Amino acid sequence: MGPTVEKQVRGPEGFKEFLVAGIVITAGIASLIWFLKAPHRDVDNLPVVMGHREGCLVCHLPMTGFSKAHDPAAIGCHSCHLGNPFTMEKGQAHEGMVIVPGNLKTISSTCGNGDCHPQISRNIQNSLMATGRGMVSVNRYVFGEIDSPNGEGHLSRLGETPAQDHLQKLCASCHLAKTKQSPDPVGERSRGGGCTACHINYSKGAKAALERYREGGEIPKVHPALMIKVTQGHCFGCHSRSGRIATNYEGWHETMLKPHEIKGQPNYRLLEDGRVFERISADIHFDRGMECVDCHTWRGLMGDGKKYYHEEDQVEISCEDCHRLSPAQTISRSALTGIDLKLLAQRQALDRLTRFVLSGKSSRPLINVSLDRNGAIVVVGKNSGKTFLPKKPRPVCSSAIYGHERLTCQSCHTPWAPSCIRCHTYYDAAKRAEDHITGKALKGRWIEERGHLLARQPALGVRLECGREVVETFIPGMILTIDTGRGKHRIFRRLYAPTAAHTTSAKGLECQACHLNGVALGLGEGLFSIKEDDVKQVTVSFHPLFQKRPEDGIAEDAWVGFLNEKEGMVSTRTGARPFDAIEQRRVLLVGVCLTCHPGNERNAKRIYKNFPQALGRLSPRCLVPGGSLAVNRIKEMEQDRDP
Amino acid sequence: MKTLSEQFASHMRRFFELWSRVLPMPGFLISACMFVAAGSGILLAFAYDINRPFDSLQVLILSNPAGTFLRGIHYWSAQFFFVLVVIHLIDQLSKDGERELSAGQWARLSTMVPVTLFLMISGYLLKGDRSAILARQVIEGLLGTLPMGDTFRFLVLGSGEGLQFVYSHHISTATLIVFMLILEHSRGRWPEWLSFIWILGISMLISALKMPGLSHEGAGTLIKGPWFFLGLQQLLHWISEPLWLVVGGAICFGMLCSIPLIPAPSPKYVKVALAVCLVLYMGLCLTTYAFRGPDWEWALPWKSR
Repeated sequence: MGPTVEKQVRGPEGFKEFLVAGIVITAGIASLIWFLKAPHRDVDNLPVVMGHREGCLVCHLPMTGFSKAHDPAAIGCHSCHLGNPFTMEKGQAHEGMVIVPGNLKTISSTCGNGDCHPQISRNIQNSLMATGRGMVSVNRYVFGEIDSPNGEGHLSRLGETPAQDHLQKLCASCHLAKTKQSPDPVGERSRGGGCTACHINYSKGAKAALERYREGGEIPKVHPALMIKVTQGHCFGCHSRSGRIATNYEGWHETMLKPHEIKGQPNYRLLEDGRVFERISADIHFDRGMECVDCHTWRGLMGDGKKYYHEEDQVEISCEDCHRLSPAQTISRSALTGIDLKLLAQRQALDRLTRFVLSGKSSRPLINVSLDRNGAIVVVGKNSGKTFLPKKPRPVCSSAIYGHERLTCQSCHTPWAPSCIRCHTYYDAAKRAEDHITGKALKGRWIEERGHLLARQPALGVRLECGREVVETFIPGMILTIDTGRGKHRIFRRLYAPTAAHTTSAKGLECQACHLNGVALGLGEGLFSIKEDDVKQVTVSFHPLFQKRPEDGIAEDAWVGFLNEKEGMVSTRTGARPFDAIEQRRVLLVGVCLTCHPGNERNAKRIYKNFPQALGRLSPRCLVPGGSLAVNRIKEMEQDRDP
Repeated sequence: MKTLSEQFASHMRRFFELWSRVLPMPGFLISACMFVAAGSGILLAFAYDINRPFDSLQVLILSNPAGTFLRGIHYWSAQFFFVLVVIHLIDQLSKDGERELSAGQWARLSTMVPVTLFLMISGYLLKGDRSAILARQVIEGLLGTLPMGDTFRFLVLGSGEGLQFVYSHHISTATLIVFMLILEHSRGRWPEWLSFIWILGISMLISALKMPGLSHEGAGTLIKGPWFFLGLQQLLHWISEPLWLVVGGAICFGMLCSIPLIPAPSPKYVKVALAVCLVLYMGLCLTTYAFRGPDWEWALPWKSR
């Protein structure tokens, strides 16, 4: 150290050192007095939760309304709301606090922290309800930005391509990862909020307390309950859109009507967002009193940690789990582990169940599905505690009808599904639109001009499930033109999407509903004409109701042309397709016979169970399929196809 | 043409000239820091209960604002102490200050670095909260990699999970060593009065603005150690054999102690090597502080909590 510096900072020794000693001693004595005499708060009243003291509770108790598991006496405030529990100073205590703890952005510190729900919080980050991965990739596929509908994507992290911009400005609010900014009861217009989107339940008292807080700043003394009770109302908001399964389930179909047009009219329902629905027919499970969570499992909804592209891959249940043809595989209560066990402990309605049926698809336990003494399936409502006794499939389902091997239950038990045709989407750069993620105004708007909204039987098509072809129900995912506003390129797409319409009927559809129905065959609405010539040979032709589109020469609402085939981009799923020409012919061949031999049980056994054999013993009165439906012709086509 | 190390030394000298116009020199401030930290520590000891360390601190900060303030002064003066020791070392090395001391004196003073580090870490462990428990596990693991690791572990941390040994070392062993080294180096002088006022004033000011926190069991998946520990935390995340880190630290310390013994011009290279290690380590601490998010994943600070 240089002498100049030393001189500058060090003065004469004796007095200064005496001064320092004086300051030290005075400061020490003053601090000690202050420390010992400072107003101590009553230590006994500093609550201890989860192994630590929590200052939050000193101010915020008493607070009622909690479920048992989330009682602040057990977990405090900080476990969910963060902030600083180790201070009594309001500003510091509230620093870093989160108002909506369920938001996925902070979930690893709140609901998903190591002491609470770490596994589920990890799973849900990767789940489809949080990411909308399938929605993003399908949209990008439709816009021609990627080559497959199975791609990466996250609705909260959208890029700048037209397809992602389209989602951001029109659709992206419906996903769990959307951050909810303020606490609110879950209603039809609620979006996002992570765990709280499904698990928060406001009592009347909690609603009133929230109102008072908003109006006058009164600290709420009634908290909404955070619990595993997920009601239909929680699902309704988001799932009343797109495939509209929530409204379908309750029997409502969206119309193009305006609210004032239905005033005083029964059988219509006005949603909070102004959309008008008309009553069609509810799902049988709804009629029987079942809620969404009575079928859907925690893994199917919140994910099992694996990455899935589409909802049908993530959902782990199937109709056959309850409506069984064969004995069910089960697991005992004592063999359950992890979250299944924890959920059972929370659901008192399920206390009486000792064995649990395993899902056929995932081989994992369905914690509300069990067997009675006779080995029959029993389903217990998770919220309601009601007992449901699912019916066994009818003989027509169990005894294989020729050609029906690939049919799913839904093929015959879906009387209607919402079908939107003719949509035009275009981009108007001069207008502004709301960012569905942040709520901010963005430049440029996507405008959708909708065509018909039909409630009609879905089309049947073929989809790959675990490498096996199954006949599944499809609706027009999009029959639309897109004008991205970038260049003069206009995109036309005719893609059907597989659907679980959630309009299940107890009674299966009549045979004619598929075998002589253009909609079911993917031809769109129209009429078949069966003409008989002089030698009793019949030819079948189809007259579509809607006009053909110039882009592909197919009727506006159709998926495929009559006795034609369609390849390339036909569906929003890889491997899905409409019936090909041979399949259409086979279906219609049966349809011709059905005109005289209706599909009752007697005819099912006599004719349709072994249809090729029946064709070999036609009576003289029978119409002989000719032309394109001639049996020999179909066989030739099949041989040509199978080398 | 000046070499890089000469340029660095020149910049350092310029920096400390500017420093001296505003603040007392680091050596005086270090001495003041030690007195402030020790004084506030004595007062805190009245409230600290070795049998329930975490709870006694919680009770202190929730029930006694004065105690909370004192704890802040203790914490911040200790942080300044550590930073100033490093700065003083850089200052001395940049102007070849080691030449003014005997090799033995230099070696004893170099011991100040690990002892100060121990004081800081032991203070952190004495919180007894979740992050302290995890930090203790890390230190136990590191000591365990040494030959006779169990003996070292016992001597430093004691047996079981109790904090008696750590507390004893913190308030007596390490503190005494530091005091002795300071007294030897300052030739028995008391802290310079201006330095004392600077340190006490700044510690009080920052304590009023930002209190040192505690973390508990439900504190989420992101537990970061004290700021000077973060580089080590990150290296432990990358390196499968912790012994290398202990060896690396020992080599750096050995290099520092032996500088006066190394014939010219090699000390220059040793200093450059130490400076590079310090810069890299601090860079790692900073990166880890800013960019490690929940589950120790990389995350942008403005996108993660």
